[in-house]
Amino acid sequence: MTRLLTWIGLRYRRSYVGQLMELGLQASWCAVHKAGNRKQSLDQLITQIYFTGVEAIPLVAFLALVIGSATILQASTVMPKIGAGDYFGNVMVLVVIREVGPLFTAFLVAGRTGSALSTYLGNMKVQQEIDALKTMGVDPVRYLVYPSFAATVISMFCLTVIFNLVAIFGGYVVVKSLSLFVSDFSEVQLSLSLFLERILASMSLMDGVLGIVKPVFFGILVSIIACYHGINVSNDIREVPKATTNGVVNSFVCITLFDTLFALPFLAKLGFL
Amino acid sequence: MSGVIASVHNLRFTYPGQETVLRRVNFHVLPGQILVICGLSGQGKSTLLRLLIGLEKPDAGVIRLLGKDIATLNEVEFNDLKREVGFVFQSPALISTKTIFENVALPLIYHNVGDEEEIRSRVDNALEMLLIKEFQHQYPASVSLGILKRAAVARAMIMRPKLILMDEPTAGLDRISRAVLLALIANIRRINHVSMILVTHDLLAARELGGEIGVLKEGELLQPMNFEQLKNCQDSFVEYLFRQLEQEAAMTAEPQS
Repeated sequence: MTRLLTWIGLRYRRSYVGQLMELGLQASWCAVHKAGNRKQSLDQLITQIYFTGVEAIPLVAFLALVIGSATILQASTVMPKIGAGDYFGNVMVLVVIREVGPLFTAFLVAGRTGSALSTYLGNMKVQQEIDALKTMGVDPVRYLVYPSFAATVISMFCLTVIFNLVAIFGGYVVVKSLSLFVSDFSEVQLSLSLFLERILASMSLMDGVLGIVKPVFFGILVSIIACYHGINVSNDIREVPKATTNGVVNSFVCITLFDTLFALPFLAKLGFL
Repeated sequence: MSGVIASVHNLRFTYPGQETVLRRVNFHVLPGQILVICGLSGQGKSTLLRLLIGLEKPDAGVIRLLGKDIATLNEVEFNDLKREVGFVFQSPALISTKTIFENVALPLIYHNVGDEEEIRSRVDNALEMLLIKEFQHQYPASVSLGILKRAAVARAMIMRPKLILMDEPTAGLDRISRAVLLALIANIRRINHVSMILVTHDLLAARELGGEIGVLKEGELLQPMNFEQLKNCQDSFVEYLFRQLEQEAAMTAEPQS
């Protein structure tokens, strides 16, 4: 598989996609082929995980709470009125776990970590810091790209799990609390056990697989696109903001595109394809 | 030639879409020797150093570092070779998110040279030698250019290289910082017996460091010679460089008088 990807990467290495693939393969190679100082790599990895993952938790949790509450509220109040109350669990799985969770988390990481990575690496390039690393025999991909790449993938997965959990449990708590004070929501009589039962009953094996694959893939996309735009800045400080913008925009486009591609198996299963 | 630290043969280089910068450059550096390459701005001095360390690829010619033709080395072999070659950029190019100590220790840590204690001892020695130990916990943004340049020299010498390449080490420094840095560089060379290739437009710095001076003229390097020989050289470009030097000296002297 790696050889095939390498062949494809070499064939198209001059194209944008080819260069992204090449950088992705180089970063992946650093994960399996140990060189340099492991302790230093681990320190950098932990620092990156702290920035990309830990520091993003409050923002992710807040977004998840708002989206989870809105979804639960709509699903538990509007759907029974149109005779679709039995599909409550399906809506939660489809909206939160399958689509919004990975997608919003990826957008957030692309906007926050992706832009920071492109700017950081772009500035390093302009200040000749990346050239300085090369003159010391330090591989910039191993030293700079790989820790960011690994940390973004790990953080993306963890943040998506946190998003889903907060959206479901936090959302439930918010809606239940609202139903105590707002008379319009008093119809929401869902117990926690029934609520979870319906969600779990609506989940398939594919949801579990995609729950892992999607965030990991989006993490790879965001980190590689951001690093590529950062390290390919020419030696001109005016290029840095352009590289950051291009990195974030291209990440958003790629995430949306691949999110659509990930939906294809479900559409095929339902007979739409 | 045995024992040659660095040699360049018929080097030619052109930036894409531009005129040829280096046409036919030839020189060699022996152990412990210092070669100062002088020339005006835009003559390709920095480019020559970038070619030597592999940051640019030549159009033609052979570069040998420590007996190895760098064009024949793969990435891993070249990275191993770079452990024995230090490089000082014109802009100090220290990693802005690391302290002075961490910057100097970076090559040692990355290449797994010694344990923690040895790394600390070697970095402390280098910082003491360059008189910047008191700045070790500061970040590059919070110290002066003179300190940054000395830290860059410390980082270049930390792996105990056989050759150090320096690009305009005194550029942008005031007279005192410049004199201190030149004295420290001369000291490092004397103690470590390291060869140096130093690029500068500062002929006086070249004289102070001793060694041979090669003048880069229209993409070619004139035969390296010492300062006195160069002063008596009949070449019109060299004469022009010395006239420039006299004018600069006069301009610096005026405010004092």
